[in-house]
Amino acid sequence: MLKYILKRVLYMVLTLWIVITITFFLIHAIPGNPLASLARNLPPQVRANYYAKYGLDKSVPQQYVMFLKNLFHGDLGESLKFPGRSVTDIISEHAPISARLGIQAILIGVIVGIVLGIIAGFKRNRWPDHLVMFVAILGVCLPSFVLAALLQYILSVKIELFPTAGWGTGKYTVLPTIALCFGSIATYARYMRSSVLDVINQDYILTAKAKGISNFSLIWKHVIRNAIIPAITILPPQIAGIFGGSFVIESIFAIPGLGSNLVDAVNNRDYTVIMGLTIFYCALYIISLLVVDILYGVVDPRVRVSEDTTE
Amino acid sequence: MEITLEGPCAYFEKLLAFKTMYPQRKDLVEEWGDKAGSEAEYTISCGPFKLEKWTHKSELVLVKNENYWDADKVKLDKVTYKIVEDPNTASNMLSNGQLDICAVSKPEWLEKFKQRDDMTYVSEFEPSVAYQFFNQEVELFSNANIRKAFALAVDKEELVDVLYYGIGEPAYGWIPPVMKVGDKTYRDVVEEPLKKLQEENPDPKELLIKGLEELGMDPDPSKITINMLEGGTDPETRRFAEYYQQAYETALGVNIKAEYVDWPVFLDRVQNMDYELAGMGWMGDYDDPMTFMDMWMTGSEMSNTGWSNKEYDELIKKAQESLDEEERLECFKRAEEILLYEDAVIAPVIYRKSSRFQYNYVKDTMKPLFGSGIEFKYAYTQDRK
Amino acid sequence: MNRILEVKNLAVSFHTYAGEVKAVRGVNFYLDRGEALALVGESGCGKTVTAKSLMRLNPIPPAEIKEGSSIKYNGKEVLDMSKEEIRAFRGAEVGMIFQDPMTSLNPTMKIGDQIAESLITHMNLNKKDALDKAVQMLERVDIPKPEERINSYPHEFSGGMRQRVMIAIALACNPRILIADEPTTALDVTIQAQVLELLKELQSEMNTSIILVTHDLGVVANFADRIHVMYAGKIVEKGTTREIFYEGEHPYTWALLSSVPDLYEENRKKLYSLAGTPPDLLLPLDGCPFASRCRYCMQICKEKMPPKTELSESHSVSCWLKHPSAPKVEKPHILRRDV
Ligand SMILES: Nc1ncnc2c1ncn2[C@@H]1O[C@H](COP(=O)(O)OP(=O)(O)OP(=O)(O)O)[C@@H](O)[C@H]1O
Ligand code: SF4
Ligand SMILES: [Mg+2]
Repeated sequence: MLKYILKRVLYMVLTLWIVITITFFLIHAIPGNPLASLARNLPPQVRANYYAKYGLDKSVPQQYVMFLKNLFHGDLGESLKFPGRSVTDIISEHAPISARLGIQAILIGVIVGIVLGIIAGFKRNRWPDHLVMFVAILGVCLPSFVLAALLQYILSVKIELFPTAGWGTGKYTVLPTIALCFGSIATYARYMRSSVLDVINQDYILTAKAKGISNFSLIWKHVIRNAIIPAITILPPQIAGIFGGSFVIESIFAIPGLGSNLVDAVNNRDYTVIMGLTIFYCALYIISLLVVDILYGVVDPRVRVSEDTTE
Repeated sequence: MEITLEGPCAYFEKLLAFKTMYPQRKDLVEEWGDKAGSEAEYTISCGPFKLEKWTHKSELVLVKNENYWDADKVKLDKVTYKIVEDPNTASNMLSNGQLDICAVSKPEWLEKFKQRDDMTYVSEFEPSVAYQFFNQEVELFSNANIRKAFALAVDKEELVDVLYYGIGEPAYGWIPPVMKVGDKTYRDVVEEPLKKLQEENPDPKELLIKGLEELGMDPDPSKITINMLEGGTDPETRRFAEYYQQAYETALGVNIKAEYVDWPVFLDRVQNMDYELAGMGWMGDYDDPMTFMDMWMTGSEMSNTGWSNKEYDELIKKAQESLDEEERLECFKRAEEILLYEDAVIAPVIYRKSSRFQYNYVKDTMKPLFGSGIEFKYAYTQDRK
Repeated sequence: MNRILEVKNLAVSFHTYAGEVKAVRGVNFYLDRGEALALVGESGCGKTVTAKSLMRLNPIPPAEIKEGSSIKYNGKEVLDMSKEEIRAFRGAEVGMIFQDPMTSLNPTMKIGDQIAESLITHMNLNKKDALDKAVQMLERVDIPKPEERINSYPHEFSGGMRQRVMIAIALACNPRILIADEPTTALDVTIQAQVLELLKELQSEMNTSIILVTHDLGVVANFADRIHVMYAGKIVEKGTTREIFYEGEHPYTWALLSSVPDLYEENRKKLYSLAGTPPDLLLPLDGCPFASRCRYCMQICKEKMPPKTELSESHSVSCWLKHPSAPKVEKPHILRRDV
């Protein structure tokens, strides 16, 4: 297992490097100059110094080598748009906020989705099933930003239950979390439902029933455990979706998360911030893939063994 | 502190309001380096309030500055600025009282808030003009009559209503109505040059055809396609661009192709004269027409039209050095005439206004022309629910 | 009392979009203590539905146990049992083995736990004792190194071993009846024999009654005490193994017998071949269900259901050929030979 994880980590680093390289050359290929508006009014000499300070006077390959060198020392550089703010500062200040929101949304999305899916699966074609499926269809059709605007208007403007926007106590996280996790709930509910239906019709469920075990054991150990396994595989795209959704949601709820920083950075061609955040997001995603894989192995013994034998 | 000037400068005192003239603490700036001004702890203030907390992308908290020279007059203990990007969210926050003051520009919200009697609508001139400009290195725009045609093609009254929801005034001059020369309001004494141009040329299309003939080009406007560069890719930019496109096409019979690029690209392209027709805004830095006029002098970093006029340069130079406000005013007047009436270097469109709603319990806020937003020195709240 | 199970008039239907599938249409049989009964018939004739009904394992809906059906276990009506009672009945009194060992075990649960589960439920054992018992059970079904194997997962076992595990699960609580639904159909021929032998051994050792469901008469020759032949949801002939093999009277029984390969090797080519398919269970059946495929079919066969004719105390058959006015039919020559 250790060898396996080591190998995976190596692959992760490789993937990360490829992503870094592609992103680096891509953003430098986009027309537009990060310092254009800042350095606009400056005399030529000062402007030249300014460009030199950030290495922007060098060729792109030279900048790339410089960037990798600094990265190797853990230095992600300084924002071009907001001098004095290092990328690490930005990440350490804003990432925890996005993380809190993201983790809440993933947890609630997955757990509620799974529970609803299980209920729908067991109550197939009865009203709980119809209700859950209705919610699921709504959740799939309704874009998160529409839901966000709706929630904000109803639960904050009309009924003053939650703050409209901003960041502070837990109360501030309620609406954005709902807006963010609704899609996951919907996806998971549908996925779990069909998974449960599939498992219920398996022969081993009949075997379990023939043993005369309690309903609880039957549902928990035999149905849910097996039904959850395929659901784990759709976790990474859900995580990616929540990353993506958070950009919009953070803007609507004025949440000082990483997403709005990335959007701004792209608009401003703030190269260092774009690079830093891309690396961060990418690393996060790759790590989550690894975690999901390990999780999959923990839950599904078949996967565990085949890994051991190939290593 | 002592400042030594290289030469006479009639508007020096006004220049002091310019951001670059704000005082700094040398020792701290040196100590902090690039960090200066990047966080609340690297900020120092000498005004009525000081920055206590700055949560990036979220809020700024100002508290009363006890060391302020006029601290006795400051009534508020705390002012919080919320950073909200989404205009709908901001409007929501205003409407349920989470904000006391908020700039509102969306038409549907404007209507809604104007009906509330617990709020006041405040709209004030800003030292700012939106304008269209032409690349004179492009053959078509090397001709003054053609530029004039474009300058007259847009119905500014309608534009203010449609594009700006009535927030602003149609601009027929380059110096906005709030600017002063000495104590005199410039626009009070100087007629807007484009008004005259418009009276003399009721049909801009004729000007265009005349210009085309002068250039020896095909006088059929429908054979002309002009690329209009836009500094943005968002729906709002598109709305603006489509309006201009349609206005030019109807008035002049030319074809306009809009090209949308991100703002940094736009600036780059304009700087490198890689455009034909474009538009942007200019915000004055201090209360003298100079802040609008010196940018069009030959060699100025800000001028990217390829235009150069000796007389204009000399006039501005004279206005820079003269201490006689009357003489300066005359210089500006003549220079503006050259800029807009004779050469039509640029085409001003609208004098921009700020617009905000505030609850009636907010009293005595001020919006200085050259400051950063609303001034709370004397502000207080009364009978707040 | 020796009679442990008594099934009367069992009728089961499935309600599907196409209509009511009458899978089992009034089945009667009994089972004595320590006895081995075989239910034989071709695919789709309702053997599995009958077997599952004994433990009420058919999902309701779509299944429906028809009014008038009765399943008595030791005199107690299974169809009237409460949820708790039926749970206590399953696994403890009756164990069941299914056809496909590859899919009948929970892939994410250790073998030991799957055996221990019913022990914990029915015998009030704690987990440790239950696992000890599971090791014993694995030993009894001839799984090598059982102490280690209880920690294995199903995918680490071969098909034959999995079926042994299934047997261990079904017999863990020492049930009085074991229902084996085609326990060897999915296995290799050599392994089939081993598994059957194991079942036989355990049956005599534990004095369990067995209901063996199969489509292969060859399998039951040395196994069953009595054989019931099913066709289209009905039992068409009942008898002791001897009676069925040597004195079989139903044309369908003859067809089944002639398709047992090992039995009548030299007559292979002259075998009574069975063309056509069983009747559609969605449609009503007025006459003999076998009529469309029977070479002895008469007019009456198509119109009226044949009555049951008792040939001996243990032997009965439902066929119009037994009617006194029916023409005398010569049995296929294969049946007159000694086995
Ligand atoms: N859940 C169900 N829904 C609808 N019809 C069913 C269902 N289960 C069984 N049947 C029908 O009942 C009939 C009898 O099925 P059963 O499984 O008892 O056959 P079998 O004799 O066990 O055959 P095999 O040898 O293939 O196992 C079949 O026609 C089948 O289509
Ligand atoms: S009743 Fe008729 S059709 Fe049915 S098996 Fe007997 S002879 Fe054949
Ligand atoms: Mg079957």
